[in-house]
Amino acid sequence: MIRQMNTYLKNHPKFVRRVQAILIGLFIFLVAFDIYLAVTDQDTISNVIKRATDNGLFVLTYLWGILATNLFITRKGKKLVHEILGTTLVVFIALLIEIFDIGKDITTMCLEMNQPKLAHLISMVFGSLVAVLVWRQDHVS
Amino acid sequence: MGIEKIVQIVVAASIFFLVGFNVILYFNKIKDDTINHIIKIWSYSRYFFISFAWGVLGGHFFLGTKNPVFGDNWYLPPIILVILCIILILIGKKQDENFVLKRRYQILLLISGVAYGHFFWSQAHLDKITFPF
Repeated sequence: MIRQMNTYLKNHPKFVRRVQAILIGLFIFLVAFDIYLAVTDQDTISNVIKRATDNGLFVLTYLWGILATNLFITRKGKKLVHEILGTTLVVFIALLIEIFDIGKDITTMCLEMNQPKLAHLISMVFGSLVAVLVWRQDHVS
Repeated sequence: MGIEKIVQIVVAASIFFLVGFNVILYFNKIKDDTINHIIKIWSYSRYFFISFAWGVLGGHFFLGTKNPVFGDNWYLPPIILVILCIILILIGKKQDENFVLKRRYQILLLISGVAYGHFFWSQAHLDKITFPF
């Protein structure tokens, strides 16, 4: 299947343009969908994600940090690890966070300090740090 | 099927699609065509509003002060956000075609976005708001 896909791609060099079009299309769809949800019903994508993060998908905050660093904070020096190993580590840590429900423990700790959002901030920063070490892209000059 | 379920499915499907698509793009013969790479190129060229927007999403979804700057007002934060993004896009358009943003400003944009999401577009006080619709 990979070979057939590669042949297809070799004969259709406009593929990157298509990827861009798909991304932009998806983004516009999500924004339009969210606006529709907002004016017809209060349960927007924001609400759903906020509730999901509070209840169980704590790992989303970690993933936000991972992507923030990978997309926007480039690496000027040499790679610490190969990309595939880095990706594996990123996913592995995400699974650990979910399986061991780390979110609940940290959230409970933060609630005792009367700072419920601190747990999310910790996770966002933690995700950024993991990506700084193993999941950054090359610098643009 | 409730709206909540539909939204969850839409979000999950989008994520699965993007990840799957990205795996294909990473392993194909064409170099540097993954979604991550493309977004990096966009944000380091004239479309640096993207990093600010990502920061805002983080601050809006995951953080959020109990006392947002605009108080109870629910429409000003997104409207001002759109205006800010338009301003950033316009500044970007003014730059040279080969413009490359310095990394330190990228980090600044990201952190500013988080700050905006947290202090201006907070969801942490939503229970106190009555929407007119």
